Amino acid sequence: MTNDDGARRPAGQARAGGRMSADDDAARRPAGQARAGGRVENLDAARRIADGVFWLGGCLSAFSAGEEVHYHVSSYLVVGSRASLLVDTGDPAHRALVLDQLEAALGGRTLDYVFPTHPEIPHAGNLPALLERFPEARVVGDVRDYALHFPEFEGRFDARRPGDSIDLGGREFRFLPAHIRDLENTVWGHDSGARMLFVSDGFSFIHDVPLPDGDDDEPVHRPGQCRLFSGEMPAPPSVEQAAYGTGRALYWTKFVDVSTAFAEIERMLAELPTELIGPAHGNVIDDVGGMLATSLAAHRRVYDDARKQ
Amino acid sequence: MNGSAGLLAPPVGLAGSRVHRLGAEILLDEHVSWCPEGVRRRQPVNAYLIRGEGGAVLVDTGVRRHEAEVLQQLDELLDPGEPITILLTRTEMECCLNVPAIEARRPVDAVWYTGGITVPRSTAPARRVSVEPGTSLDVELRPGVVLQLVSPLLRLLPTLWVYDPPSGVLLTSDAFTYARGDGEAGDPMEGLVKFRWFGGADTRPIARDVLRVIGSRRVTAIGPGYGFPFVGEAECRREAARLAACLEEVGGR
Repeated sequence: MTNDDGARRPAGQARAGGRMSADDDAARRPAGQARAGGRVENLDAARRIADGVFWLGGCLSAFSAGEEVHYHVSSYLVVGSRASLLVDTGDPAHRALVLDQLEAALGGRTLDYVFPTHPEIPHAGNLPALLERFPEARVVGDVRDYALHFPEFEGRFDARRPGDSIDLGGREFRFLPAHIRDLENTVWGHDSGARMLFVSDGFSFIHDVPLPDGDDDEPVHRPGQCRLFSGEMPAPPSVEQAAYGTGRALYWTKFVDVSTAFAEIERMLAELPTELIGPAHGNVIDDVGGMLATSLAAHRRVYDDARKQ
Repeated sequence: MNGSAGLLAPPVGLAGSRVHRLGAEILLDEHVSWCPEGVRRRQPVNAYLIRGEGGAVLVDTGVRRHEAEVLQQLDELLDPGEPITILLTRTEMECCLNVPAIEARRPVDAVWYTGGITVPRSTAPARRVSVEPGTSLDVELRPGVVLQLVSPLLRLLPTLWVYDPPSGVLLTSDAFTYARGDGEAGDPMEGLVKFRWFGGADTRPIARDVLRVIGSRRVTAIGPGYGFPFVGEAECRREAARLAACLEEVGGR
């Protein structure tokens, strides 16, 4: 048991009293290009990670074994010629940050769709603020339960099932089954424009394993590694590191052999060319094949270790 | 669409003046993620207030659609300005979204939660509690109000069941959610909709854990987060056995 008072707070705090500006440096750089020194210079701004795709949100900070560690709580903005869509809302701790990042990334356009991958606080907690800021925006995805949680917005929820898609203009956003998830009403998505798969709680990784007495349930990384691609990290995560995050954050994987789920994921990737994977709680993955292998091995380790207990 | 019954229902006593059930009913249908296929009926979504000599603990806060009902029920049970402690059995939205409204109405000295995310709150300090799955922890949440926080294996997210030794009431969060309230026993399978991963899992340890939690305590009532409670020691043991049998049946090997 720990007293958490004050232990978790937004990391990479926004400038006091300042508005965010678009990450001009990132906007000039070819999408996906690694940054010198492996560090994002301006964590207050959205990071443009591909043509028409921005990485928003921030990190939350906690202390594990006396050392500060971070975990991502990310949102992704996909902008087409006709419409824009936000994947996940970010955490309420980052409400002002996300709204400012979003406004800057939209560059004067409006937000048309909000797609919370599932109704948990880090994924849907900023829904009221977003719907107030963008009065025309519609909430799409598996929208069961949302009328219970946000009754004042009851007329703005549009169900989209796996297999459905939205034409954003020059790119298609497709809703997909979530093969790795916690809540059942989780949906993944894919953007054809950037060939990017959005996987919610799936494919989260840590990059430094906290000591055994660490009490974090979320995948973590060290300060300075915020909003980097996996390929920009000092080293790719090991199976051990991936297993730590998997076992802590997705409890059920201790009981279930995920080989079937990974076979489904591989079929999905064969059908939908994918160059980037965007998890909500991990670094953006730019080595899809390598990380798939690492993640599957991690899940198998979690399952095998649980069988030995 | 889902709605409350339209009445600001009074809180329901579950164990004398010690434990009260708060909240209201929703329409359980295809718009609710935990609804079994083809089901359409009303179902209560519950919060519970445990009152001890040292103060009151609110276990979960109800869905936001029932915010007015929960606030009024708290007003009925508590003195104006009387502080409470809030304990969240898990950090899903049906448990925690009314925290800010409650804070606006009366002092909240702490919000205890299971971790993993931030908790929506205004000023009340958040206190994280971690209990290893399959174990329990006695915690004094208010002076003289010691509750057993049970970490069940039957869960998705980090989850607590809350046992109140003086009353024998066990609050079970998103488990035991299938009672219909119409005299029918209800089907435990209906309560497993949100746990589809059981179909690929060896669920025998989970079933044994359910039996152990109930069997090792004097459980006089089971209060789920949604659905009607089970009342009586014999009924609680019987339902534990029925749920455990379903868990074994649904599990993969």
